[in-house]
Amino acid sequence: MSHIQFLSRLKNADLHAISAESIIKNELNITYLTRLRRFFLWEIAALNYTETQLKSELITIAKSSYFLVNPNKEEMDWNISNWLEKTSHSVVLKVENKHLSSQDDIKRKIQSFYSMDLDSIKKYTIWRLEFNQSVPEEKWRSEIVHLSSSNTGFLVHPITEKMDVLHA
Amino acid sequence: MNPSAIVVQFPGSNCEYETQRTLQEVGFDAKILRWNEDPQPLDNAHVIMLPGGFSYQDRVRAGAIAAKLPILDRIKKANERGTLIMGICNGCQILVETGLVPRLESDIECSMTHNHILSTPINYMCKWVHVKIENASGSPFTNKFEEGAIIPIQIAHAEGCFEFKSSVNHSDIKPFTKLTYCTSNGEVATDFPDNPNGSQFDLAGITNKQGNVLAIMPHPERSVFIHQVPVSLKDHWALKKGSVDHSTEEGPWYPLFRGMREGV
Repeated sequence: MSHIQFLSRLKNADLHAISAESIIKNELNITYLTRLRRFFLWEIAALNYTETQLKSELITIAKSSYFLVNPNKEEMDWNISNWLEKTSHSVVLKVENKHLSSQDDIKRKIQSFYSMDLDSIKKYTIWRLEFNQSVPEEKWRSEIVHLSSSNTGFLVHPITEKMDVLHA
Repeated sequence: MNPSAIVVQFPGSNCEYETQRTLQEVGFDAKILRWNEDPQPLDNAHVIMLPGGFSYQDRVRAGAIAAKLPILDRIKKANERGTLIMGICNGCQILVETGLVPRLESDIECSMTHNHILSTPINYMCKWVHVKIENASGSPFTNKFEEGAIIPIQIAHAEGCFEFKSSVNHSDIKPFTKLTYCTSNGEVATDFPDNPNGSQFDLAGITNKQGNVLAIMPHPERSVFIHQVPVSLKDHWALKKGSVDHSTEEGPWYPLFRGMREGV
């Protein structure tokens, strides 16, 4: 079984991240957030391919279809550490939506159009938060990330999403 | 002097004008208030409407950005005074994000998630469905309907599935006024297409405990007049449409707005 990961991100401005950052800074009055970025992490598993073969096939699919990314608007990056690198005051969150993370529909389409047997395709939202100071985890979790009341964070909905801290 | 109604326009709202028109039709002095204008008119409004649309392009989650705007703090204060507040479609999503509904015990007890059929996510859908009104007398929004009335209504959404936190049971929301998806005969909708989006407890709309806040995913403002009802429904509303010739003849959801008018 081969497992492969890549990131996709918008080539141009990500309005989701811009609006979220604006609301966090201007309406929730959080002064320690300096930058908020959003990516998507893809995890793909296949039984009958080596990692090299799998990567090559996925690049072909990405260039010739809209199944994985829209190549006009999004780019793939195989070196995920470029984007998830730890800096002195940064936090990287991997968010799984319990309804949307499993991309079974895309898996079926790839199977149908490319006769390629994939075991699973999962897609996660990655939020990268950069701070101008060291911030206790409890504080950024409640003030920026977890939706627990109308005046708290909102990046992760407690009912439909769960979150892993990749590094803090 | 007519009672006042404010329709709050967010960047991305797209149903504010027909909502205003409907309110005017039943006798409100209805005005549109932009999200970044002086919110003072909300303090004297008898009714506040959050219309349908795609506020902030549904960024992060539908309603998530709009729910954090200062104007929502004024709307929460209006709720404390007992002002009638109704959110339709995107307005419903905003009310749920703020925790104004259902508000059993705490703020965030519910989420509006992506439509899905048998756990497969599906995208935006626009179609006519039927809903049943339960505990109609419990809210000014529904007290002009008969208990258990079955009414056709249009849905148009991608994130319209009510999903409650695991500790909430059906019995917890039983006393609330609700609109639930059903078959055209009023039988419980067990699955698609009668329950079009996988909504928990078949919910299409729900009020808060007091009944003064209604969050509803389908669009009642799109079937206030009989001419808005499609003949393809083949029910008594469609038959009635064929027999009348007036563009303002009352349609299936006129009583909701009339109830609001008489409730203030």
